[in-house]
Amino acid sequence: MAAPAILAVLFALVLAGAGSALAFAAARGLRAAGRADRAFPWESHRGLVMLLVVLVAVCAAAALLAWGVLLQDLVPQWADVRCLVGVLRVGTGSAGATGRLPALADATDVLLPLLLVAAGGAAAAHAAGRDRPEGPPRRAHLSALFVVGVLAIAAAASMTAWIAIPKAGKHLSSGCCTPAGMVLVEEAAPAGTGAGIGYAVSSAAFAAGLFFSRRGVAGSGVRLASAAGILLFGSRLLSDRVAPFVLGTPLHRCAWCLLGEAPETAWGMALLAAPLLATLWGLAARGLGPGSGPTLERIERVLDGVALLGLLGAPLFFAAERLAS
Amino acid sequence: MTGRGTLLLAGLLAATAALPFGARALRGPPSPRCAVDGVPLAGAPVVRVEEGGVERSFCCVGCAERWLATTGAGPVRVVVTDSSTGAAVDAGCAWFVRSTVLAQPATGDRVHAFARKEDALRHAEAYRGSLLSGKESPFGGKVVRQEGDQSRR
Repeated sequence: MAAPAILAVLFALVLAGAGSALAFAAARGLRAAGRADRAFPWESHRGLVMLLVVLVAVCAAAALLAWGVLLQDLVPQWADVRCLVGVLRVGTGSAGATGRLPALADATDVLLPLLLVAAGGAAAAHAAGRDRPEGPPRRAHLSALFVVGVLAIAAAASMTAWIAIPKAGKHLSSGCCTPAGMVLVEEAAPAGTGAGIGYAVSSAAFAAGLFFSRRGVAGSGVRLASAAGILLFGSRLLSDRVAPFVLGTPLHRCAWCLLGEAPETAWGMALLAAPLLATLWGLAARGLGPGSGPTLERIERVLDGVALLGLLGAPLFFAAERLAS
Repeated sequence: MTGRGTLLLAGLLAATAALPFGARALRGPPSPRCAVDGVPLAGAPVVRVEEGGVERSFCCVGCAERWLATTGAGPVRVVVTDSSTGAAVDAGCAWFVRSTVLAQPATGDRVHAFARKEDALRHAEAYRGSLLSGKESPFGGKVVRQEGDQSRR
């Protein structure tokens, strides 16, 4: 087994173990909350649960990276695969376990980012719980911890199963962005000025939400929508405007090829996602935690800093990437 | 934001700006790829298209044709790779065969270029192919022959 596969399996094992423990602790907490006569010693478990949820969040980020490295590492195995998107389609049309590879890859692609969002939010909410040390967390918080545990187990299972299933034989995996029945990425209309304007407007709206409207439903809504816009339009600009330039392939617009050729782009992608992640984690800390307190304020300040880093850092990074090419 | 926080943010932004330059310096120049679909050119039947002093490389005949069709480029100089010897051949002098053998698995292109007609006919016979001529021939009408080339047409 190659080094990236070993690394990915290792992260999957940690995710499965920490996820199981987290789901078990949250389930016990939920059961105790439902039956007043059987108190769960939550106070003594708070630190351990914090450790588990942070471990799951860190492992989700590391597993996402290891998953990308693993897929990129497998590209040369097939002559008809151009980049990691082609590896995700390996097994399409095959019979037996090999035929399940694309579904497992899709599940891993969805579950790992979802886990990162959920675990980050649950960790922020759990940390904010320090402001109310007495008594068990709210049921919503316990439910979120349980969901994080289940998501971690599911993500670990899908990733490990994909790695374990043999990938020998003929596959309908040709192309990187060119599966049958889909529009060729090269032939789809490139992002015009619309994506650039969308990115600029989203960034401006997010900055306004960050500096002028601190909290509240309207402010949070603006921040959430504009952060989603930053990720959406930013990804389009990354594929259509940055990738062809850096790769020297004017008609080929694939962010995954860019990731394979220039792995540091992973940092740029993280910066694009930072405003949305920070906003979601902040909302989780406020919504699932005790609702107010000095720890919550400190967490929100840190998350605002993360969002600001993403807001300013992403355009800076991609401008530098183009300049360096 | 506190003074320490501002300093940390400024440091991270500076590192972010420096990262692409550092990574590029460590990595060296990027590996050559097809200008159309990004397929690495190592081991590919490379086609080079020269227009206006700029040379672009493609992973197969199909990609080069697609480039010319998309950009609407005028007369250009095209150099293909001889499937028998791997040598570079001016497209104006080359023989093209479409056969059952994939010339480029990543794109599914089946057009092979040959410097000699005998090689082209042998390939066509062995792999149930057909010699491309007239309108079927790639780059028809867009190729400018190099000075001194002996046209086969």
